[in-house]
Formats: sequence, C-alpha cells, structure tokens
Amino acid sequence: MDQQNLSLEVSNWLKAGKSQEEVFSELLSQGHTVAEIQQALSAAKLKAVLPEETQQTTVRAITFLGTLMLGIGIFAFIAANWDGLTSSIKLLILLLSIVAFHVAGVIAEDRKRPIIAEASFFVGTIMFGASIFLVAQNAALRINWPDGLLLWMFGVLALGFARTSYLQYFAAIVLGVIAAIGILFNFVDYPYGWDWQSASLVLLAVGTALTGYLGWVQRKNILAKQPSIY
Amino acid sequence: MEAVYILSSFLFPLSILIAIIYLISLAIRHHNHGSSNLQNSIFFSVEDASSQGFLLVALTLFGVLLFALNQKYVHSRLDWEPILLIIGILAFTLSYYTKSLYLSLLGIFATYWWWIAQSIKLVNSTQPGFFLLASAFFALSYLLLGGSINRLAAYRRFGSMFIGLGTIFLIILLFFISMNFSVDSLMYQQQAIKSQDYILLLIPTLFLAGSFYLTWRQRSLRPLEYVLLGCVVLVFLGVFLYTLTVPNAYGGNYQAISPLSLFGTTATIGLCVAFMINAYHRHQVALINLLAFTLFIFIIMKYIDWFNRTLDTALFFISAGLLFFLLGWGMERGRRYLLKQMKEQP
Repeated sequence: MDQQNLSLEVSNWLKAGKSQEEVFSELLSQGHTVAEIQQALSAAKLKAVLPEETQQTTVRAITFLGTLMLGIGIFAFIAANWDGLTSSIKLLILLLSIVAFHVAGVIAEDRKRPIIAEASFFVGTIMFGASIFLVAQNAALRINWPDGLLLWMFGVLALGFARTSYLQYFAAIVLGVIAAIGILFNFVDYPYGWDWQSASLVLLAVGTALTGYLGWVQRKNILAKQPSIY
Repeated sequence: MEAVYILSSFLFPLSILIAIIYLISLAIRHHNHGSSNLQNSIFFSVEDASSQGFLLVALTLFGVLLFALNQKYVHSRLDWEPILLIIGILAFTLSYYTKSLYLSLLGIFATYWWWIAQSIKLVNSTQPGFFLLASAFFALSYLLLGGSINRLAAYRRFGSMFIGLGTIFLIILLFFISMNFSVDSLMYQQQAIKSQDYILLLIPTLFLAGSFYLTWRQRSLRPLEYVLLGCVVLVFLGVFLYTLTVPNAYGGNYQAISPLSLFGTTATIGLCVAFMINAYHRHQVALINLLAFTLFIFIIMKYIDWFNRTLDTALFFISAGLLFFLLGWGMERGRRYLLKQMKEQP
C-alpha cells in the first residue's frame, strides 16, 4: 500500500471512530514502520480539519454551549428567587431538574444527538452537586464542605462509568483535586480531631479506592491495547 | 505560621504540578503539530489522560488521608514530611508499572519538597543561596536525565517530560535571581553561614554527578552542551558566592538596580539564547517555542521590574508599547527563521 492509500485508509478508520492507538497497533501489526504510520496519521489529521469538518466542530460547540446556557439560565432563575422559596420547594425544584436533564440526555442519546446528550447530562451533574450542598444546608449537617465535593465526585463517576463519558471523568478528576485540597485545609485548621471529621476520612478512603481502581483498570486496558506505543 | 507552611508544602507543589503538566503538554503538542510522534506525547488519547488523572487523584486523596489520620488519631505525633516521601515513592513505583507521566511528576515534586522540608529541619535555618544552588543542581539533573532517557524509544515521553521540567525549573530559578524584589528577599533572609549548611548541597550534588556520569557514559551530550552545562553551573555558583560574601548589600533600595539582578538578567538572556541555539541544533521545535515565549515574558517582566518606579508613567507606557512591539516582531521573526532553517535541513 503506498503512502497516499495508507493516509486514506487511516482517515477512513478515524472517521469510523477508531482511536489513534488502535490505528497505530493495527498498522504496526501489518508491518508498517512507525514513520510511515505517523506520516499517514498527520495527513489524516490535516484532512480532518478541512473546512467541512471545522464547520461541524463549530456547530457541535454551539449546540453544546446552547444546552449548557439553557441549564445555567434555569439555575440562575432559581437562584434569583431563592430567598422566596421554602426549603422543600427548593429541594423539589433541584430534584426535578436533575431528573429532567438526565431524561433529556437519555432521549437525546436515543435520537443520536450526542452533543445535546452530553451537555444535558453535564447540566444534570451540576444540579446534582447543587442539591448535595442544599441538603447539607437544610439539614444543618455538621460536616466539611469538601465532603460534599467528594460525594458529588462519586455521583459524577457513577454516571461517567455508566456512559463511558470522558467529560464526566474529567469533571470528577477536577472535583477530586479540589476536595483533597479543601479537606487538607480543614485538617490543618482543626488539627485536634473533631467527630465530624470522621466522615472525611471514610470519604477519602472510598475516593482513593474508587479513583485508584478506575485509573488502574483504564491503564491496564491501554497498556494491553498498545504495548508497542509504550 | 506552621499551618501555612504545612499547607504550602502540599498546595504549592500541586498547583505547580498542574501548571507544569499544562505547559509541558502545550510544548509537546506544539512539537507534535509539526511532526506527529505519539511516543513523545504526554497523553495521546482521552482515555490515556483520564486514567493518568484518576491515578493522580487517587494518590493525592491517599496522601491527604494519611495526613488526616495522623492529625486525628495520633495528634500529629508522626511528622508530615515522611508522608510526602511515602507519596513520592508510591508515585514513582506506580508510575513505573503504569507508565504514567503525571505520577512521575507528582513523585518528583513530592520528593523535592520532602528534601526541602528535611533540609530546613536538619540545618535548622533557611539559607537562600544554598537552596538556590541545590535547586539548580536538581534542574540540571532533570535535564541530563531527560537527555539520557530520550535515547530509549519506549521511554521517550518520560525523557521529554524530564527535559521540559528541567528547562522550566531552570527558567524559574533564573527569573528569581534576576528580579529586584526577589534579590532583596534573598539577601534579607540571609543568616550567618554554619558549616552544617553545606549538608544541603550533598544530595543535589550527588544527584547531578550521577546524572552527569550516566550522560557521559552514553556520550549523549555534544561538546557545546558540556560548555553550556558548565556555564549554568558557573552562573549559579556565582550567585551562591555572592550571597555568601555580600550579605544584605542591597538593603531594600527598590530604586536601584542591584548588581545581582543585573548579573541574573544578563545570565538569563544569555542562557535562554544559548539553549535556543542548542535546541535548533537538536531539532527540538518544542523547546525553541518554549524558550522564545519565555524570553519574551522575561524581557517584559524585567522592564516592569526595573522601570516602573523610576520612569514617568506616560513615558513608561509609551516606551513599553514600543518595546513590546519591537520585541514581538523581532522574536517572531527569529523563531520563524530558526524553524524554517530546521525544516530545510535534511
């Protein structure tokens, strides 16, 4: 296969949804050299950013932003009228929002609208986090605020795992880092061990196990799939 | 005060870690734009990035858990420094098995910070000159190690990471010695030198010697790079000797440009240009871009550092505008010229 045909084939594979690593492994097994594959990948990538594709990317970005703005708008409306609402109404609104955005996500996914689905699930995720803090505030729970972030992270991880969504995974990673910093601050500020700090310890242990397990499993998969790259 | 110190030991490395992951990935991505090379990427797919991110979060949470357990159940009877070391060792071990760059960065930062904390405890004082020289030795060691690892095709990503890290670390140190305000703080905190202060230099010197021996055995350095290495060591030795012999010579006079700041500025510009020429000969596009950007930022910072107090406000801004314009134009021309020359070479 000459270089031009190889680039064409790589381009088709990428369009069909194959990852770069899969392309790399496949071509290596067919006997192509690393330099040939890299050249083909570069050519395919160049082709992928031609005007038509760029336009599609723009449309996707606008769709995603649109859904996100809609969610934030609803959120801002609730926040603006927050003081006039009773606790149970606030909770009900947030719970309904969570359900509504997740249902919207499922419907959009069924109708092959992945960007709208992703954005809907993402707004649902934000609502989920807001609900955690609202419940803690209403029940006057004496816990660390970063514990809420860890609980939020668990929910995001569950959804990310169920849908294999990397957006959710990255959101969970960011939440995990902020929570770790927050809990550290808390233990430095209150170094003598309060009862309400015990929850942080349990959540930290669960968080370590969960993220460690997910990272380990993903890593094993990657290393098994692309031994030639590493 | 202690709380701030303990916190900074975790937060500072973490924030720098995130910034450096971003900078290195930018530099390597820029490099890959010209010549796609998967083995150089800090990550090459979202799955790769998320798996490394999860392992990083897991280890960070684990570190905080150990710290919290120590606080709550044994009332900090154990020191917090060993926790950093444990995290560093775990990060290196896991990084070896999972081939994760993020974890090796965490390992480097955790052990480096552990070394600083332990050294302060050991000598019971802070000597800025010693820490500066020791940090420069660490930065040079990372650069040398990066060069050695880069020769192994399977670990090229780690080599690129070490080179990026060493370069950024060295640039931060050079920035530091060239700034008026940092020179002032450096001299202000200077205490009487004790013989035990020299212990601070032991581990970094051994580390540098080991890395140098490895590079020398592999013959991976060019003659010009030996000269460059010697120049960097001489610059930092010069600063070190200056802090030893001229204690508090500057005396907080912000109007003046201190001799150390002048020396630091000249050295930074000279070394940046020398590194750029070397990167040109080595065909390291990412490093040329990184150094050009650094030089640009550096000259702007120097201008503000030196002239914001001495020049008239209007004159300051007008000349700043002209400087930025000329600098941007000149540097972009230079950078493009180097990249074009590289492409034309076989």
